[in-house]
This record gives sequence, structure tokens and C-alpha cells, in this order.
Amino acid sequence: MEVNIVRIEQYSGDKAIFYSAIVDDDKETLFEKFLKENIELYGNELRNIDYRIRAI
Amino acid sequence: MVKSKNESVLDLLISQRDENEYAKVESRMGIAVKIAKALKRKGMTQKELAEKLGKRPSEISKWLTGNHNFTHDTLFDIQTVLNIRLLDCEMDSINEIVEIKPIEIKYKDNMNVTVCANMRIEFDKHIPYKHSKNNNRFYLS
Repeated sequence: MEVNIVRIEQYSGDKAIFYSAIVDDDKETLFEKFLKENIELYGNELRNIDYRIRAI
Repeated sequence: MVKSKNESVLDLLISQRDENEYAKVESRMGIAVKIAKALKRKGMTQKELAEKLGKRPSEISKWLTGNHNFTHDTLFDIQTVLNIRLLDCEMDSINEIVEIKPIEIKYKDNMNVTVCANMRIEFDKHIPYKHSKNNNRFYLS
């Protein structure tokens, strides 16, 4: 299993950089997969995560 | 939730941000940071803070997640124990309206000239104020 670190540009800036991981030959990061899997049922919770990461 | 072919779920999430909601989240996290910093500065543990406030330590942990919706009284008690400022409503009424009126000066030939007076008002301590452009009045706040 090969894991590559990917910088998430939408959350990265001068004070902090946000990374996720891509496993093997996947096209999506683990974070993107997590969002996809949970956006329908847990949209509000994901929005909260988005705001908190942005605040950090 | 509809997303276009090339738009990621993250981009869609970001496009649907509510700035008012974000401001609330940021504020809650700010309070948690302020409490955490105060604890560190005072060398106080979460357990000690809990004891002083008559709370369970687990409740303090919950406060520090940055997701908690505090009541006014809880914030008041915390700021008292930690000697920090979490509430910003020390004055609940307008104490005094300070009005600067233009001074009218008439010349011998009845030409009217209006001059705004420059006044210096000194208080015993710094009192925050707001200036209303509508009526050119200063309000102590």
C-alpha cells in the first residue's frame, strides 16, 4: 500500500497547511472520500467541520 | 445536494458557506482558546477550574472543544475565576450624550459663519464611545 500526502489548497494559507492522503492509485483523497460518504446524511456536521477547519 | 461534474464535494461545501454561521463557530472557538490560554497562564488544571466553578471536569473538556454554546451566567463565572474578559456588556445603558454643537459667529455685516467647536473632554478612565454620523452625536457605550 502506497500513501501520498496531498495539500488541500482550499484550507491552506499563511498560518497553516492542511493535508490529506491518497492511497495507492486512488483519484480522491481520503478527506474527499469521507465528505462524499457523509454529505447526504450528515451535511450539517460536515459544514461544522468545514467552518472549524477554516477558523483554525 | 447537486454537484457539477468537475466540482468536488469540498468545493460544493465551501460554496454553500453561511458567513453568519461561520462567525458563530469562530466565536465559540475563540472563547475556548481564551479559556485554554488563561488556564495555562494561571497554571490551573481543568480539574481545578471545575472545582472552583462547581462543575464536572468533563464539562470543562466539553467547553474546550470549541463547540459549546455557553449561557451568559457560565461565561460570567468563568471570566470571574480566570480573571479574563469573555463578555463585553459592562455598561447596559447610555450614561451621557455628549453633543458637539456648531458655534455660530456673526460678523458685522451679518454674514453668518458656522464653526464647529473643538472640544476636549477628559474622563477619569477610558470609556469607549460611538459616534453617530446621522446626528453628529457621541454616545458613551
